[in-house]
Amino acid sequence: MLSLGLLCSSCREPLQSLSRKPGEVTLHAGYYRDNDQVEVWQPGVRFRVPLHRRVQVHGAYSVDAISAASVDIVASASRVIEQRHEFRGGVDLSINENTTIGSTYRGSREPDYQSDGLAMQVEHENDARTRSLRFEVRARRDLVGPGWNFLSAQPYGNFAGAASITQVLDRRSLLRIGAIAEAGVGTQWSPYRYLWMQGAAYPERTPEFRFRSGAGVRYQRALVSTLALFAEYELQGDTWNVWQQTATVGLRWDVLPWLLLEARTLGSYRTAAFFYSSTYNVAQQWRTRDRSLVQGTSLWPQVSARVALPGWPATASWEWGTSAGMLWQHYEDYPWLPDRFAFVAESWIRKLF
Amino acid sequence: MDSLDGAAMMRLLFLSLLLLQASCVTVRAWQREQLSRRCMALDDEFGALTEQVRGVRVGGLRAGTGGGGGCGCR
Repeated sequence: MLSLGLLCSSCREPLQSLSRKPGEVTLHAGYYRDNDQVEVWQPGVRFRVPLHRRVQVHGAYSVDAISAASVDIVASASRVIEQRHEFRGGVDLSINENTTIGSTYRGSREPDYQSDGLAMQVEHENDARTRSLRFEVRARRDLVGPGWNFLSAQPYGNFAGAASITQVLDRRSLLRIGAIAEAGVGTQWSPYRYLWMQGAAYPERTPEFRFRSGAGVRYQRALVSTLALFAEYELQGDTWNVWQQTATVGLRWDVLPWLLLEARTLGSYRTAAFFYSSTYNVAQQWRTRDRSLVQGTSLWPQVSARVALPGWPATASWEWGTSAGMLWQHYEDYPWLPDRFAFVAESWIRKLF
Repeated sequence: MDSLDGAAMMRLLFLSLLLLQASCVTVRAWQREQLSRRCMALDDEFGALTEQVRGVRVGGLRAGTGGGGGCGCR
C-alpha cells in the first residue's frame, strides 16, 4: 500500500507535461466593454481528447461579436458591427516518458483581417522530474485589409522562437524562466487610421520590419499548504524602440477541496515608438496613431473562482469557473482618449473525463 | 528606459539562470504533494478572451502579441 501511495503521489506531477493533461470539453463565454465604445461578446468551445496513452488531439472554436465606434478606427460616431471567427486544432504526442512534441494550427477570419499560423513545440522533463524544458517555434501569415487605406489585402508574416525552463526549487516553490525572439515583416499598420500632417489627412504608415525580444521570470511558492503566491516579471524591447516591463503578482487559495479562489494584479509600463507623435508638423515617412505604440501604463486587477462538481470527496467530473477584472490604461501624449477603462469577464463550464 | 537595452535583458536572463542553477534540488516523490495542489498549478486558467485582451491591449511575451494590431485588434 505504501508503494502504491508513493506511486500515485509521483503521478500527480508538479511539472504537468502535455501528455498528462486530462481529457475535457469546455464551453465558455466572454464579455468585454470599454469607454472607447468597444463591446465584444465571445462564445466558444474547446476540447482535448486522449486518443491513446501517448496521443492527444485538441481543438477550439470561438466567435467574437464586436460592436465598435473606437477613436482608433473612425472619426465619426458611426458604429461598426462585425464578427471574428477563430479556430484551432492540434495534436500532442508523447514520444517517451519524458518528452512530448506537439503541433497546433490556428486560423482567424474577420472581414478585414485573416490569419493562418502553425506552432510546433517540444517539452522535456528530466528523469527526476524536477526540471522541464520547453521549446517552441511558430510562424503565421496574415492578410491585412482591405480597408480605407488600401483596396486589396496586404501581407504580413510573423516568425517566432521561444524557450523556457521550469525548475522545482524545493517542495514548496517553483521557478520558470523564459525568453522569446520574434520578427514581423509586412503591413503592420491599420487600414483605417488617418492622421493630420501639414494640414492634410494621411494614412497611417509604419516600418515594414520589426524585431522583438524579451525575457521573463515567474516564481511561485506555497505560503501554507492551501495558499500559494506567484510573481512574474517580463521585459521586452524591439527595433521600434518600444520597451515594456510587465509585473504580475497573485494569490491562489484552495479554500475548500472543491473551491479555488484567485486574485491577481498586473502592472505594465511601455515607452513610445521612435516615430510616434501626437502632432506631425512636418512630413514624416513613418506616422501612427496606434495606442499600442504610445507611452503608457496599465493596471489590471482580476479575481476568479473555480468550483469542482460534484464536491469533495467525490472525484470531480465537472468544473465551473468565472473571472472578472477591470483594466485601466493611461496613455501619455494621446489627446484623443488618454484613459481607457475596460471590464473583462468570462465564465466557463468544463466536463472532465 | 533608454538605458534598458539588449545587454540589460541578457543580464536579467543570466542572473535568473544563476539563481536557478544555485537552487536546484531533488524533490522526492513523497514530497510532491504540495507541488501537485491546484493552487500551485503553473498554467493560468483564464479563458480565451482574457488572453486576447492581454495580447492586444496590454502586450507581453505570450503568443501572438507581435505585429501591428493583428486579429481582433478592434
